[in-house]
Amino acid sequence: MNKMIMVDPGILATVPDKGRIGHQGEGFLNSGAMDAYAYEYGNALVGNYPSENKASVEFAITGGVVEFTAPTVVAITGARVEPTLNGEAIMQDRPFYVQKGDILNFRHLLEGRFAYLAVAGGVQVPSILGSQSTSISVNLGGFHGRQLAKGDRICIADYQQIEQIDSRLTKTKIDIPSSFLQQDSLDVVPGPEQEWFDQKEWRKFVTTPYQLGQHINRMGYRIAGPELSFKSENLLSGANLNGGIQVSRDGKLIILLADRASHGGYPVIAKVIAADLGVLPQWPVKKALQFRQVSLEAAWEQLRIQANATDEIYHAHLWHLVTPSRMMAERIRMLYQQQ
Amino acid sequence: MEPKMKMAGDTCINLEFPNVMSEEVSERILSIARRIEALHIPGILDIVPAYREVSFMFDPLVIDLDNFKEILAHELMLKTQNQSVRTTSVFEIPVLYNEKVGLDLKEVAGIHDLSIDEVIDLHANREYRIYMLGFLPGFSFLGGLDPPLHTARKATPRLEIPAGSIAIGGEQTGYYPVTSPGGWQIIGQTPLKMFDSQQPTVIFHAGDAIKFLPIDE
Repeated sequence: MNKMIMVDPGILATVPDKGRIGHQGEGFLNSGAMDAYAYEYGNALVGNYPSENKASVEFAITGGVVEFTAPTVVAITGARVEPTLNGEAIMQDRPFYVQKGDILNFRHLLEGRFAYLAVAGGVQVPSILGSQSTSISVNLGGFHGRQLAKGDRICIADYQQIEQIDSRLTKTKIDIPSSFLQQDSLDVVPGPEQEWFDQKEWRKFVTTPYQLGQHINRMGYRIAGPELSFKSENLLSGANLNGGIQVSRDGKLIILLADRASHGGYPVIAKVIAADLGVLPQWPVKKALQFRQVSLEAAWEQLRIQANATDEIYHAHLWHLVTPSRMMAERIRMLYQQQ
Repeated sequence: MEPKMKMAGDTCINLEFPNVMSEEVSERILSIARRIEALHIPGILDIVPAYREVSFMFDPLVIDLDNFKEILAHELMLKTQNQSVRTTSVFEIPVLYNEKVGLDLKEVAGIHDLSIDEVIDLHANREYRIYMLGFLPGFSFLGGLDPPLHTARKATPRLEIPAGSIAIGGEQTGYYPVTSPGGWQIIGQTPLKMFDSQQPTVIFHAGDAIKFLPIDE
């Protein structure tokens, strides 16, 4: 079995895929990659098709140092890092070929908070309820239900051969359309309890700049800024939305994210659009956070753009990964041909 | 009372009833959720029933939303006379009610001008219907909390509530199966392990009932 060794997993590394979707009604957390777009195009870069939902490694707050025990293709996306392979500088947002004994170092994050290491064929951990994602708070899924530790050996796909053209690999031009670095505002649509807030409060919400609060983690980000008031009624608990902006009785905002509990009862004034769900987690502390209302159509169009970009990236990959089963199929074919 | 269809953000649509706990509405919601699930509509990623709404999570790049809204409207028109008959069970859960583990027990008593013993009497030894599962694996949302105990959620949610805590939030009561953040008022604790990640199976179901039995240390 091919392994990736966590020489240094950094502060918080876990195994996500796009999430354990479909069981929120039984209380299971969605979890999954915080920056879904970076995770998706990372997979596309290494030749994993989106619908395959291959697992990657998410590095939060810091990057890490990883050693490989056999050849494969990897890519680093998400937060900006300065990666080196065996001491030599390489680029992120590009696929590159690693061999046995290679050491990949991307410990320091320059910008952003979540970096993704995608690997050809994906990280191999058991699938629970259709997903390989880790839900740390309930010790479920991913790598033994926990964050990665120094020395952990993570199984990845075994490739006997990678038929590739080295020079073409590093010169591949791939356009990543939009980056979290370029956004100054977060697009939102009205939430299910928007009418609990009067017009004045909504205007306050979309015109005043907020910023990240003190407590931020994979479950949600507290947001600092002007408090919002709403009608005095207790809301019966309902399903929590990823990106849902809930307001507690003290008027403070919390934006719910990947590891949020499946249900909650604070009113949701707005929701960060799905396409921007990766932008918020990477948002710098102290940078002004402006919420900008957009239409549903505009929200969907942005998702379409991202899906098309990921698709294009996937189709640009220039190598064939030969798995043991394909080699066996090839041998059987040759046996038949000899007859 | 007729529900309304309402967008809940860009990747979810809700079928929403008025914000009032009702067994009849709950049965209707569960029935609609089951029937829509059986249709296996492309683009529907998850169906999440709650107290007074059912949420349909969808992939905007796959679903035909107008068509789905028509299907929902059609479902609502069907008379729901054929309630599926299921056997339901009552589960008894031992609870230690005291100020040490019931972090808000004194405050809740104070808010309602009751003694701590009176709070315990009103909370324990009665059957609470499970309206839905959710929030966390192993968590059941219970209805039937005596009105004198209805207590608003905390203004500022706690960052950490111990596993096994028994709590009240608005007109709901329930327990935290694992340590988690939360805004409910904690009045006791159960020694039972309500969720085991090694065996992530679901024992209780919506429609069953739970009873809390007071114990001593």
